[in-house]
Amino acid sequence: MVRKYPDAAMISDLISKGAIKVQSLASAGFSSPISLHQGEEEALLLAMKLGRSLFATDEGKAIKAARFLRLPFIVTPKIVVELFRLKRISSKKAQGAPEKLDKIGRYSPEIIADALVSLMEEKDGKTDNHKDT
Amino acid sequence: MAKPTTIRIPEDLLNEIDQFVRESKLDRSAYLREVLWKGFSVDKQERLLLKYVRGDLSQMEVCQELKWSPWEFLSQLKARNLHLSVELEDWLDAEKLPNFLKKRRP
Repeated sequence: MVRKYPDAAMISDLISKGAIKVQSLASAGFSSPISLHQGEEEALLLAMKLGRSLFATDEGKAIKAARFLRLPFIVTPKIVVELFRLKRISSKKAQGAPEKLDKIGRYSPEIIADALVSLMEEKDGKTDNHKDT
Repeated sequence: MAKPTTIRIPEDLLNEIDQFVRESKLDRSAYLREVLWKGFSVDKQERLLLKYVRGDLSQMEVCQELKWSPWEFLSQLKARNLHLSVELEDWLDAEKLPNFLKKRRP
């Protein structure tokens, strides 16, 4: 599994270490405003049930559903920028991530370019104020 | 079990297929079945990926339909120079991580 699905092996390891908690939930009665795969639908439901949680996804349709349900969401490039802002990862590691998200993760060039600008601004001590402009 | 069906195809295409089958010493029916399989597979992939790009299908819905893993899905996007359905607006509207996650100095 490690060779074929390294991400799954990593997640499995984090679960066994207790860094990721698996929760089971009854999804009966909940239907997403937009048709989604079961996993995405359950993640949305869990975010709603937990409250004060952040819905992390790389799925445009799931983001549309989160917007409709007024659930706060985050996408991977933003997580990278934020982890750097919060000093959880080094500048070197942060700078290398958008390239991977571009080539492997297939994020659009516009988002990658903006993420790199945000990283540079964080490095230079400028605040990300996209939402205010 | 193979079932018979009837379709109308342009005469020039049929002539070309017949000539190719003769020259390549292929079984005509078997060859047409193979071409149909291949064409259907490619067309189905293209149509479902188009639906993904338009936001009509999610990544996992496409994966389920095409029996792809998420990694296969990403490599297929790359092969076609397509991108995730996450839009610039989504990136701009994404929330920040809470400040309590900030690493404290030792």
